[in-house]
Amino acid sequence: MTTKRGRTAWVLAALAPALFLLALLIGRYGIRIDETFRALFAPESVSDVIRALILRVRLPRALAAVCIGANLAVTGAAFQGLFRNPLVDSRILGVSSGAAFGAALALLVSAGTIGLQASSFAFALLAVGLVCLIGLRFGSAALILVVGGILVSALFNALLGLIKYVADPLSSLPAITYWLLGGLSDVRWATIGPLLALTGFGLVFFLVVRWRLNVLTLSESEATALGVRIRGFRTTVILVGTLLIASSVAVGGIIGWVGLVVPHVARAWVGPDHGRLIPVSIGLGAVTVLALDTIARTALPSEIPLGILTGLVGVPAFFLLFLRFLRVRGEAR
Amino acid sequence: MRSRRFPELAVSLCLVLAASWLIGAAEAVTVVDQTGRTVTISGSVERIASIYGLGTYFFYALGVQDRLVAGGYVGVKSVAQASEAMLRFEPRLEELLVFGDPNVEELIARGAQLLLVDGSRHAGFAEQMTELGIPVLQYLVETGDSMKEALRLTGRALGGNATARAEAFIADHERVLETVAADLSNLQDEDRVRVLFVGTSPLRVSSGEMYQTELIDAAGGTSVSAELFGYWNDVNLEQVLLWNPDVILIPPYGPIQPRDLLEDPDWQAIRAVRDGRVYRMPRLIAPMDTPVPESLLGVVWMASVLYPDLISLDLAEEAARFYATYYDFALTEDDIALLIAP
Amino acid sequence: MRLAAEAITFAYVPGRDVLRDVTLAVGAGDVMFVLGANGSGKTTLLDCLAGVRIPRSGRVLLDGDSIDRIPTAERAKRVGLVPQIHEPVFDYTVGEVVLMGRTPHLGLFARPGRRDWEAVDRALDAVGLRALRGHVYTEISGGERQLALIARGLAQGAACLLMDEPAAHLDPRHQHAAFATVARLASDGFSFVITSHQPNNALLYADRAAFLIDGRIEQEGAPIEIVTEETLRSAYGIEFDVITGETGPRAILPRVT
Repeated sequence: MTTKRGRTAWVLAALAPALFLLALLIGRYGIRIDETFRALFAPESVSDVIRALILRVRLPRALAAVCIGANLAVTGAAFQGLFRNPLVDSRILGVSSGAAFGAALALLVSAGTIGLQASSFAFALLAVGLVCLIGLRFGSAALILVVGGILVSALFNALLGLIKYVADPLSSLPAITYWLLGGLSDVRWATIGPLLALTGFGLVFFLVVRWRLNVLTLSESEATALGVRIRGFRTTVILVGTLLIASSVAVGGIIGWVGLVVPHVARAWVGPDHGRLIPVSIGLGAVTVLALDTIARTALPSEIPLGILTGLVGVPAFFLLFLRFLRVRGEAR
Repeated sequence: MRSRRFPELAVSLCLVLAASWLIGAAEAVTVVDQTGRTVTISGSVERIASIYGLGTYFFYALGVQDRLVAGGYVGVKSVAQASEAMLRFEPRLEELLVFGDPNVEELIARGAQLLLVDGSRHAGFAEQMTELGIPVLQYLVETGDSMKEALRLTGRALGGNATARAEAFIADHERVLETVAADLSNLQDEDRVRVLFVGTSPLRVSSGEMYQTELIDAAGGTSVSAELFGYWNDVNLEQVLLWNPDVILIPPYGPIQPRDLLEDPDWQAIRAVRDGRVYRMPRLIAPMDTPVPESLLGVVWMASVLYPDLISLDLAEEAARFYATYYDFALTEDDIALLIAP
Repeated sequence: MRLAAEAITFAYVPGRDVLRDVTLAVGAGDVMFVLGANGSGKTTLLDCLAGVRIPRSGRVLLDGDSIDRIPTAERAKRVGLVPQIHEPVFDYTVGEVVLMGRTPHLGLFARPGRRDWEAVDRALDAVGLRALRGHVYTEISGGERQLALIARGLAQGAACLLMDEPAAHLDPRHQHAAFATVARLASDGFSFVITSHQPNNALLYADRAAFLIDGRIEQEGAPIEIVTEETLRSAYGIEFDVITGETGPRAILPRVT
């Protein structure tokens, strides 16, 4: 079996802007195609409502969706290589648990959206920081980091449980539950600045070092023998990945399965070479979350939590990938 | 901790058992609570408790608040959280307040002889207490009708004046609703004010199945989010734009103030925000948008806000009378100002 | 080119030395076998020679310079580590695996270009695997994988390759293919340090050999001189019979009673 060439992957690159525009056209409030374009390029020529909807509601939301999808997917791909484990998800180092705790804390004290994002982001970094401290103290072999991640996640989950217990069941508790299910319902320009900035920075980083990520899949001694400062490189990858995930979770809540499944689909499509895997993961992740979020905000009058949709899609997708894996391995033997 | 309580516990238990044996079958009352269970209350009930946050207010409305030994009050987790009026209203708040999961031993230690419980959440706990010999009334209150029923059955369980009070309140409730309906009898459907009732966050809105929608209907409005089901629903701004309500109402609890929406640039395209018709329900004692007796005033307040020119009832007058009649509580000038401020 | 260890001592855990005062050297064209039992410190020795681990005392010299003073990328272009074959997690092609050997030639932000692929092709030619370039690494045989890893070392540009038990998972035919390639490359000037626990291979393929026993080099020299029953007993803890031929020892057999 020979691996596929990446030529068809560039089809995605061309398709992505088209899909983005398509997402702007879809919504519960019917807006014609020409009105949409006029809202984008000649905003004064449409009514207040349409302008507000396109420019202030749908556009920032679509941008947030593609950023989050790209971030989760690229970090998942990088971490799967870094930990040499295809079952790794972007949440392995406790980022999500820390972020969930931070958000729940903010919701408990009714801190407002900015406070929510700041708290979520801060605790996400704290969680990973704790894991890295464990790594520093006990040696940052991949296993140590994974165990550290499990411990830190468990700690923050327990604290989260405590918050849920004392939260007011009429207001804070449902708000926390809803946040934990993930969603982009209250995205607006004022709140996605950090996400956009960090996404730009992080994606550029992963794109320029993408080939070198291959070396992370080798053993530590092999990589060092090849001249790579493996500890530093690994730490940098973890740091940038964490920034991407933390900023994504701060805006969108816990959105699972994207970081796990999208890299697998990308790998099945273009092979494991990160030179192709990284850009394809970015594109595929962006498109997936954009599509699911469009459904989340359009299918019903009330919002469907995004995390539920990614789960409903992610689980069967993962299962199909697993079947394919079994079949391919079976044929090759 | 437990060993310290034990003597107290033992004594209380003895007292309870002795009392009920002495007074015994002499004055037994049988009621059917809202989960369909038949509950027998023998003897007079001198010490009452409620861990049902809404039900506690029933005791006040029925005039038996002096018999309270423990109460959960909806939305009040600690004395620090209670409003100033609330502390005047119930000076014993600190000693009475219980919050969170019910504590069996605490209630027995206080000698509760009748207990009100939320039938949908604490059924198991209710069974425990019943086995310990304490009559428990379980409530399922979601609508105005079930609230009135709940009052009636509580009144009957307590006997004496309470029964009459319950009937009086029910009559008053009907009077208010009928007056409002009469005032608005000429209103055409298309002229009804379209109302969005939000919750503790601007995009978290009430569903058609919630009490808030019933209040809006009673006040002559139309709830734009009536198509939603269940409890609070999360929506996005696009859906709100699609509904485009005339008026937005904010509950008396939660962090949102009208100016949060009025000053938000993303909300300007909505009619209610453009017209400045965003109001927060006032909170004096209990939250008026929940099925407590105060919700009577909630209807009056809402109707006055939606149809200021058509409503004949005077909120200040109704409020003063309500609190005096049912809660034995005299409102101050400030209290009334709080209630009628838009 | 010359790679030398001078009296190096190394311990993973303080107090438990794995290498004690080890000295050895290879030059261009040498094929040196380091023999020893499992756990005798062979892999650690290779790691130190490759500059991957720094010994507690002593030094490793690459062409006269202390190896930890040489920039890592520079060092990687001269010394290559060829690990034991293993099951990789992802299914890279043979070409992609060998391409990773070009890492020291590529900066942090660079990606392989035509020149790098040309180096890959040259390396694959040198080991005779050119035809398998597009095949998935996990689907070729163990012997072919070993050759691919050698090719990766060559793609680095390394003149000296350190091989960790290359025969460990190979059948006789593939072992022979691997060592024949090694011999051919050595005659072109490449040097090899090969760890092994099979003295027979040393007798067949090595120019020089050394026994690593309890972290020390005991015996060093031509294989036919140092492969004796006493040394074998000391190294492996069991009795061996040495089969001799006209020129000296030809093979060893454990004494089965």
